[in-house]
Amino acid sequence: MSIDMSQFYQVFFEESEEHLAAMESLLLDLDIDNPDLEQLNAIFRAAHSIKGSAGTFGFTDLAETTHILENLLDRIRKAELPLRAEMVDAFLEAGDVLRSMLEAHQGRGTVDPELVTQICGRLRQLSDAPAPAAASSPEVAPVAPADDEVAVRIPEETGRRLFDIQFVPTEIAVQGVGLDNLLDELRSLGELVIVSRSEAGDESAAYWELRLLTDKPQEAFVDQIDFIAENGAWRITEDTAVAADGSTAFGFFPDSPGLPDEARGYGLYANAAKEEEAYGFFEPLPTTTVEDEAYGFFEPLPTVATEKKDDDAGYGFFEPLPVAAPAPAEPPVAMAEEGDGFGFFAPLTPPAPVAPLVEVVAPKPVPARAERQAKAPVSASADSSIRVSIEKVDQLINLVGELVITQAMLLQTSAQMQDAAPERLLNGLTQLERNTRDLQESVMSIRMMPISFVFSRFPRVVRDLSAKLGKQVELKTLGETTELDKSLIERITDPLTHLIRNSLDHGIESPEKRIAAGKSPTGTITLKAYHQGGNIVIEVGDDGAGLPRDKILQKARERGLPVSDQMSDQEVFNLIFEAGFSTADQVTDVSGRGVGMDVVRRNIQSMGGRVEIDSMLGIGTRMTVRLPLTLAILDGMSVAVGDQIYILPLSYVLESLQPSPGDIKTLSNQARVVQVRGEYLPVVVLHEMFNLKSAWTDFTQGIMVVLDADGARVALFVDALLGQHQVVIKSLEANYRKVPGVSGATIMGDGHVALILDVSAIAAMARTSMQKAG
Amino acid sequence: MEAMISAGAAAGDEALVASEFLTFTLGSEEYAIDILKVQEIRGYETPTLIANAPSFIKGVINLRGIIVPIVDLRIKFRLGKVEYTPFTVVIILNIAGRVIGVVVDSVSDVLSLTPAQIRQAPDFSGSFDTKYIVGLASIEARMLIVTDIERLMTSADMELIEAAAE
Repeated sequence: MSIDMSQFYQVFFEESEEHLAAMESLLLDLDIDNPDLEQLNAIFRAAHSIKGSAGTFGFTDLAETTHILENLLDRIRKAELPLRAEMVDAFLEAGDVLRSMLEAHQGRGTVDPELVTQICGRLRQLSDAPAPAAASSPEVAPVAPADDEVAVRIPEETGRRLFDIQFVPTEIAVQGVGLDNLLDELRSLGELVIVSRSEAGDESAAYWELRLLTDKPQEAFVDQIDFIAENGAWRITEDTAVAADGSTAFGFFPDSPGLPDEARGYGLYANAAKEEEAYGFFEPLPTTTVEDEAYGFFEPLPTVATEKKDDDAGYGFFEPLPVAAPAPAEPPVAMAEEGDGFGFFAPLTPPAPVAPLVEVVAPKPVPARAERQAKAPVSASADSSIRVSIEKVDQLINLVGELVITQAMLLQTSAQMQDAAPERLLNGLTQLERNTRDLQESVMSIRMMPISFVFSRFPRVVRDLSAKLGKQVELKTLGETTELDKSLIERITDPLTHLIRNSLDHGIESPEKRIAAGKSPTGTITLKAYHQGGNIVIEVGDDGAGLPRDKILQKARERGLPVSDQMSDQEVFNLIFEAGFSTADQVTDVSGRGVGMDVVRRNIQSMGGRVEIDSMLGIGTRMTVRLPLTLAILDGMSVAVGDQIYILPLSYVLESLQPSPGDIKTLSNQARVVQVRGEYLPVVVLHEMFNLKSAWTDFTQGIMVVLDADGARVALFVDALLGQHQVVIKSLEANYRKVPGVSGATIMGDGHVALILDVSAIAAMARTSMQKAG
Repeated sequence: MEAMISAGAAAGDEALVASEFLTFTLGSEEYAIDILKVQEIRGYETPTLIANAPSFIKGVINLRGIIVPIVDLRIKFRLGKVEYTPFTVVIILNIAGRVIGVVVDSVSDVLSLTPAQIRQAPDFSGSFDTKYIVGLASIEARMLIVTDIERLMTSADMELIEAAAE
C-alpha cells in the first residue's frame, strides 16, 4: 500500500478510545433483563467500528479480539443468546484489554498476552453456549413472539437460503487465524461447503468460494466476510430458488421453473467439480438474464483487476433482493423432501443438528430499521462537529488574547486624547470593544466541554469498586452539561476519581451496618456540578458514615501534628488532606495508605481551585471542589509594588485595608502580624520578599490585602491597589523557568508584562520564613 | 548546522560550505552566531522584573503575546559599560524550542564563513568559557569570536532553563 497509514494512527487511536468509552457507558446502562435493542446495536456498532479500522490499520490483535467480542454481541443483539450479567462483565473486561492494546500500540504500557487469551476464551465460551431453549427440541416452532415487531419475522426465519460466497482473503487473514474463525462462524450459521479454496503459495487460486445454506439473512455474516476479504473483493449472491419449496413463495417469480429444473440444477451442482459447471446451474433461474451478466464477471475473478465493474453489475442486481423478495416461507421439512434433487446437499439438509435453526432470530427488518434510525442522529452530529487539533484552538485563543490587548491599548490611548478624540473614533472603539469581547467569549467556548466527559467514567469505577468491597452503591450525577475548559477536564479526572474511591471506601458503610443504622442498604454517591460566579463547583457527596472527628484528632496526635480539641470541624476535616494521613484501620488495595487526599488537594490547587469538606457523623460527607472555569483566563486584582505591577488572583482576595499604626505588631523574631478585627494575621511584605524598592517603608501608608490561602489567612503588604482585570494567563515556563512565588504572567493593556502571584506559595514562603525566624 | 561547524573545525570534507553568521558587539569584542538561531532583532524596551532572578536576567517582555526572558550578556560577562540607549539592541533567539532575548551593544552585519575560515580558539581565559566558543575567524582586520549560542544559552550558567538551573 503506497499510502502511509501511520499518519492516520492518531485519529484511529482517538476514535477507538471514543468508541470504547461509548461502549463502556452503554454497557453500564444496559438493563440486563430487558436489554434495549437500540443500545445493543449501538454497542455492536462501536465494536464493529473499532474492528474495522483496526483491520485497516493492521492492528490485528485489536481486530481479532474485537471480532470475538463482536460475535457474541451479534448473537445477543439478534436475541440468539439472552444477555447475562457475566457477559456484561466479560465485555467490560474485553474493553479494558482493548484499551490496553491501544495504549500499547501508542507506546504506553504493554499487554498481558495471557489476559488477552483468557478474555478471548471467555467470550468464545459465552458465545458458543447454546441458548437454553435450543437444547432439546429442534423442530419446535419458534417461541411465540411477544410483540408485533417480532411477529413480522416468523415467515423468514424458517426459510433457508443458499448463499454463494466468493472472496479474496487478505494476506493477514490467511496467515492468521482470521480465516479459520470465519469458517467456524459460517459453520455455526448453517451448512457450509467449501467449493474452492486458495492454497498457500498458489497464486492462481487466491480466492475462496463457499456455499452456505442457512436460515440467517445475509446480514448475519456479510460483515465478517467484508472483514476478512481484501478491500471490496468479495461477493455474496443469494440463490433464492433453493429456499423456495414450490408452494406459496413462487408467487414472487411468475416465470419460475418448476421443481424438475431445480432438481436438474442441483444434479449439476452435485457433479460440479469445476466452477464453470457450477455456474451452469444458475442458468435456468428466473432472473437469468441479469444474473448471467453478473455471474459472467465472476469467471475471471481470480484477477482482482476486474473487480470494479463487477461491483456495479453485481450490486445493481442484488441490492434490492433482500428487501424486495423476502425469503419465502418454508418449513424445514420441505427441505428434506427435496432431498433427491439436492443431491450434493442431501446429507446436510436435516436441520436437527444445527442449533441456530430453532433459536429466536432477530427480525431482519427490525435491526435494519433500528440501524437506520440510530444512524441518522450520528450522521447529523458528524456534520455539525469537526475534529480540530488543540494546538490550533490554543493559537486562536492566543491571537484573540492579543486582539483584546490591542483593543485595550487603543481604548487607553483614546481616553488620553480626551476631548480631542473625534466622536466617530470613540464610537468605533466602543463597537470594537464589544466585538472583541464577544469574539473572546466564543473562542474560549471552543475549549469548553461538558463535564459529562469526566462523569461518564465514574459509573464504571463505582460498579467495580462496590463489587470489590461488597457494598451496594448507587451513583447519581447532576449537572452533567456544566461546561469547563478541556484542560481542566483532563486534570480533574484523577482527583475526582480519588474522591469517589474515598467516599466509597470510607464513606459508604457495608449493607449490614447501614441497615443497623436504619438506612437503606444501598448507599448513594452524588456527583453534582454547577456554576457559581466565575467558578465551577463539583460536589462529591455520600450518605455514609461521615468523618469521625475524634478519630481524626487522635490519629493527628499520633502523628504528632499540632492539633487541639478546640479546632473547628473545618480545620479538623482538613487534616485528612495532610500527606500520609489515613484513618482507615486496615490498609486495603483501594485506599488507606494515606496517599491520595494530599495529592488530590495539590492537584486541585495547581488548577487554581480549592477543596472543602462538610461532614456530619452518621449522615454523610460532602467534598466540594471549586475550580476556575478555565485555566486561560483569570480574574485578577492588580497591585503596585515600587514600579512593578503584580496580579493577585481575585479568588484568593478576601479584603484589603489600610492599617493604623497600632495594628502592626512586631514579634521578637522580626515577624510581623497585623490585627484585623481582633484576629492577628501574619504579614507578608511583598517588596521584601521580592527584593524590590517600595514606595513606602511605613506600613500605614500602604495597603494590606488579606488573602485566603488554603484556609490560612495572611496579609500581603503592597504599595497600592490599581484595579481589577480579567487577564489572559501566559506561561513563564515556556521560555524561562518557574519562579518561586509566581504562577504565571500576563500582558497588561499597555503591552507590558505583569507577573501573577502564586498566593499559596507566597503564604507557604511566609510560613517557613516565620518558622525559621522563630 | 552545529554538526557542520564542528565537522568543519575538525577540517572535514565540508570545509568549503559556507554558512551565515550574525555578528554583534559586546564592549569591544565582536561575536558571530549562527544566523539560523536568530528569530529577529528589535530595540530594547524595559522588561518586567523577575523577583530574585540573577542580575543578568533583566526580566521578561511581551513579544506579540509570548513572554520572553531577556538576558544581558554584558552583565553576564562583565563587558564594557552597561547602559541602555536608543541603539541598544535585543537579538531574539530561537533556541531549543524556546524564545530568548539577548541584549547586546550593537549588531554589525551578516557574514558568510566557511568552516575553513574558523580557526580553533587558543585556550585563553577570556570573559567566557572556551567551551562555548567554536573558534575564531578573521575577516580583514576584524577578529570574530564564533560562539555556540545554543550551548551557551542552555547551559546551567545562564539559569534560563529549569533542568539546567537545578
